[in-house]
Amino acid sequence: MGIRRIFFFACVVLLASILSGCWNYREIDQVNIVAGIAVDKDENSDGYELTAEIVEVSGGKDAKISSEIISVKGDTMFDAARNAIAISGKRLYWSHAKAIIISSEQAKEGIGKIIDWYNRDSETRADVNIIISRTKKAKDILDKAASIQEILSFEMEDMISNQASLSKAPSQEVWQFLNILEAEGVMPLIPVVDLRTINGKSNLDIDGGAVFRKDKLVGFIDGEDIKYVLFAMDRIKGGLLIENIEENGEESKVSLEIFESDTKVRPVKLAENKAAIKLEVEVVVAVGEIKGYADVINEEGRKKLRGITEASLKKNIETVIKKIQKEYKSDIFGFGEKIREKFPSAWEKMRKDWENSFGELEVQVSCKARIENSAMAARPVKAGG
Amino acid sequence: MFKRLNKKNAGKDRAVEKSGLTKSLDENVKLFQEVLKDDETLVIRRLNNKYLKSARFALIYFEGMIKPDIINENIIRPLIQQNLKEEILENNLVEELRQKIIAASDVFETRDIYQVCGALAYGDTVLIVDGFDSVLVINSKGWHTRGIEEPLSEKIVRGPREGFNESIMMNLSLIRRKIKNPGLKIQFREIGVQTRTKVCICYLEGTACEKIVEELRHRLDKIDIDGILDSGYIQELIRDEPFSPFDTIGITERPDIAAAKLLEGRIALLVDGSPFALTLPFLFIEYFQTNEDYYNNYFFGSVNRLLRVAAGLLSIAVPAIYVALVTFHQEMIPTPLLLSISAARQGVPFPTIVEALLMLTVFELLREAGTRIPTTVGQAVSIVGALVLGQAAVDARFVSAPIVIIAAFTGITALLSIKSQGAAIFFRLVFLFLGSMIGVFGIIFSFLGLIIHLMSLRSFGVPYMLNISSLKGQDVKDTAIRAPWWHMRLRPPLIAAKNMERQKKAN
Amino acid sequence: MEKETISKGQAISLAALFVMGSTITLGTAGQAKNDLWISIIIAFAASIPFILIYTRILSMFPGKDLFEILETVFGKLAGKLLTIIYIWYAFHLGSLVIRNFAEFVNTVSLPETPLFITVFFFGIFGIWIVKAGIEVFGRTANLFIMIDLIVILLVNLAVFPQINPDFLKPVLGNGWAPVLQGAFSSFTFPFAETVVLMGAIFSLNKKDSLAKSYLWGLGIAAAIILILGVRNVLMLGANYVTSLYFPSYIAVSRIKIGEFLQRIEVTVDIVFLSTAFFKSSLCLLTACRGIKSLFNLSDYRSVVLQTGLLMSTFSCLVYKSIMEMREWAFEIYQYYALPFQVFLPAIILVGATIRKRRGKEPEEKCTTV
Repeated sequence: MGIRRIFFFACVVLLASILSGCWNYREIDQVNIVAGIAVDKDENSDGYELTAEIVEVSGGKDAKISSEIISVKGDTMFDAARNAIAISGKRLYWSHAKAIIISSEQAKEGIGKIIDWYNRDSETRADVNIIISRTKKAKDILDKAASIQEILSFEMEDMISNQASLSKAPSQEVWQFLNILEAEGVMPLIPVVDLRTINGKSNLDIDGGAVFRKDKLVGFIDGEDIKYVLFAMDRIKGGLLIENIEENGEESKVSLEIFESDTKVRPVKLAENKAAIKLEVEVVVAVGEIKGYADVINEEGRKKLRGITEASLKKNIETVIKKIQKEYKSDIFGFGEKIREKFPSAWEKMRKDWENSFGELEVQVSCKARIENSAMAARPVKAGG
Repeated sequence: MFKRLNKKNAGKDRAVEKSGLTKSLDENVKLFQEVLKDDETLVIRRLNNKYLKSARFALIYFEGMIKPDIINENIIRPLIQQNLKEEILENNLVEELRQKIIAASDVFETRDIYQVCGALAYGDTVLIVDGFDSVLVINSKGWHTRGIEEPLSEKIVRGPREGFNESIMMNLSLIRRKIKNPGLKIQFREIGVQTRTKVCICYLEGTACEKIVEELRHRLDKIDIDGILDSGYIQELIRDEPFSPFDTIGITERPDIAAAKLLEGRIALLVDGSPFALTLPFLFIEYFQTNEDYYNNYFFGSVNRLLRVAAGLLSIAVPAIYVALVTFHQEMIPTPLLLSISAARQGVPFPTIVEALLMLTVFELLREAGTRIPTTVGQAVSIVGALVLGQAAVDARFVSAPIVIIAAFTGITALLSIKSQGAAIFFRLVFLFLGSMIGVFGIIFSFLGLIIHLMSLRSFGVPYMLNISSLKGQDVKDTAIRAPWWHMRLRPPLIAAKNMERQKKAN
Repeated sequence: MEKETISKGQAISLAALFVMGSTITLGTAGQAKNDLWISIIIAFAASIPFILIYTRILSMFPGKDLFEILETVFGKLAGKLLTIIYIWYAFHLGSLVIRNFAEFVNTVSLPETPLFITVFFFGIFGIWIVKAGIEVFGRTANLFIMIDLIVILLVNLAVFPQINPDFLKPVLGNGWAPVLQGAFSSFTFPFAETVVLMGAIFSLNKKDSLAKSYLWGLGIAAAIILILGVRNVLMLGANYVTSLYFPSYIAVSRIKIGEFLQRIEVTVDIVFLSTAFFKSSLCLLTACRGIKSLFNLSDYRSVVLQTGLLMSTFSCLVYKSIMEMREWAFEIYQYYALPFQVFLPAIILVGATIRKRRGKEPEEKCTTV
């Protein structure tokens, strides 16, 4: 290569870049980082009211992070998001948003419309949590809650991701929601957030789940029941089981910590267009606390405790499935999908009327519990010999 | 090129013709006075033999270049005191003197005044004998050189500590001491019309590739320059790919490295007056190899080399990656980190790319200042660099703290493979430039460009990236890692094509 | 001109990168939904005989590329006509690949940057590497395939916690029809596109390893495409995958291991970019070799700049939008590509066999060309 050619090449590249400027070049301090949003129905039109929690960063040696709430209205989500520039001055930056809170009022009308933009746009990320607010307006959650961390939305994300050791709320990300929405034989289940007043302060409380039929909210399940729903869905990762045990006429409460849980969902074909579900739950627990003096550690006690645990688990799971079958007729467990996977031809005949036949679906639950350890103490506390 | 070569030769011939020596001593002395006039260090010492009055001599040398003891004891004393018989005169006196009288290690007879002048300038003494048109050039070099010291540019913890100095003969002796095989060939030539610098080609016959040696001779012959003051001149004059920022010829200040390269079949080129020997062909991976890798435990050596390779890549890419992430791909940054970068950027007036360029320039300034300034004021520079430019600039919100960290990191990593610094600076800018234009894609494109460039380079016909992308057992053993010695049975291919085996397959 | 040769390993790398190019970005066999792995396996199996045809043609005339063979077999006129057809195919394919990647960049990362910029970079670097010659090509490919494989391996190891094996069920739930459709689509794009390589990789150090290196390259690429396709379905579910333009990218963006190891999708850009780059550059190389042989030029390097610039310009014009691109890539392209990939090679093979049997004189004629 001659020097003239290199010069020419350098000129072309330089010129191209200078003329081009920097289209997508975007300084970090020139955008407002959105931590989370709340979507409400706009009462005056069929549009939305979008409330965004924006991270405020004050620079300097001792950087401080705080949040600010802005509310905008728009015909569509995108419209509202762009209108926010008029209020905040900078463009909103969505990639780091952690939560979308949707008011139950809006959810009743369907949330598929809201989610589309979030899934489609390249600046937003579809792995953000959807949460349904039990308060009338989703905005209130961001507006009124007192936060423990600096940013409410980040706090909510932590709350949801730490549900693994509580199991009182399901988690649902936007793309999972869409996947379920498009799939057959399964309905979405979304966590619920509420405000709870403690010492005069309203605090966030993520507890329970919202049951959907298609993309419309049909009802709520509270936190204790969600645990058993998660058992049925094989999504339990932790949490506690509280069992009552009687010994010598004295009642004791034993807290069992769930270590491992494995649920097998087995569809059984009954007829050409009828199927049943067999749920086999296997759970590994540990005695975490004995409130009372019952000896559940010795062999006999262990046997008894296991029996009680298995029985109550079976009962609770059955109850909650019944309840959902009766009240909501929404197959949040994905039983239909299991049938489709196993018996595709039978499913073809059942799919049309699945909503009704789900209500009638026979579900047999069998539970097996294994008590693995009793934490640090080898026997219960004995009072005064 | 050939034309120029001819012209040069022609010029040389004319000089000889014009100043032809005669048989008269006086005329010859006059001739030398004429040729070397206005040089007041020229000493002409006339003398006679004690016994044979007709034997008249003249000694010519440059003051300061010679060792007076040699001239006094080994030349003048025998010339004066030896009993020269008449019959000697009838024989060839010059030949007799050379063989029997003068007690110096290297004496030769010549008629070429061009050569004689060169020898004079190199510290030899010229003996003119009356009645002969040839002179004797006697080795009486006595100029002073630096001793053998530990090289400053290539520090090591373990391994031989001697380094080359400015005397080519001393350097050769250092190499010769390591390789005693008579296959070690040493060939001289003179380059530079004015400086007439001695250049020496060293190679191991039977191991080095003849074609490469031939090519090197050819390229050296084509050089036509007035002076060679350092091996750098030659390095640039004979290199392949003159526009590449990468070196295609290696340099070293250590005889052990030069010997190791010779053993691998490479050629060493020593240049008088320069403590830096050239080694060729030079491959990209040699930037990251140090002699210590081979002396230390292979595991430690491999770790160090991997670190160096990684540092080399990082020093090119890190500023660009930072700029691309912060200005294009914020979604890639974990949220807590994003928030702290954002906090650091608050109130900083410059765009990130300008900040990056600024801090990199500042670092290069400090580095250059650090190498140029006398050691006594070095302290001041480090204080200014560390405190004023780092701490104060951040505190004053002139630049953000992350970019200072990035610049410092880049600087440190670049210093790890110091020989590739020129190329690193160039490609760092290219990466930064494209990275700030189209983000990470720009960086990938620049990386692609870097690789294409490296892959298309050749050093004396050997691909520059030899073995880099190979997965064959013997090939990877001395690239990014340093395999144990008992595994490195073969020499690098293509370079030592003739004699691949380094060890017999005994183990 | 000195004959440039590459080693077997380099040929494998080139073929693998070529097949992976833009397929791993766009995904393949979407019609088969969760059965796409069957489609890919069928398509791979179906492409093997055709690869053997291509390499058989090449090995009948060692040291000659596709275009020289065309002229030898079919004579001046018909040969030149076929040459033009294949130049067009290589040229068109190259610009399609460039456009695919440019759309990818534009959609996921740089929506405000004009398409032309990415295309421009592709053009410049493509021209550079093609000018540097097939040897540099091979060495660079050798390095990049290793980088790509390492990146793919690491990324896919991080995927494991998030896969859901149920997404693959039920097997053949929709019957064979969509599976075969998917197989057809992934046969034409990308496997049988290797026909273009006949103009680029034709002389190896050892003659007999040509078919082997083609097949190895194809096999590696098929394995990667299979793994990535299945990974996408396992992570995202077939429904969601089919709604995406760039499923692999989205799948990787879902990776989340702990607080820190997430949002790593930009790392796969290096795989997408390098594979697409090698594919388009190999197309450019083939087109240039074709032009060289069409006009009896002494060296193809003299037309690289022009062809490369034309190719990048053409890729800006070839579609109006990404929607059009998707329709073309998955619905129309398969029929368009069929003649180049199946019919013409078969005809060439027949013609070559006849010509070979008839005697030696046409071959001698050719050596003077």
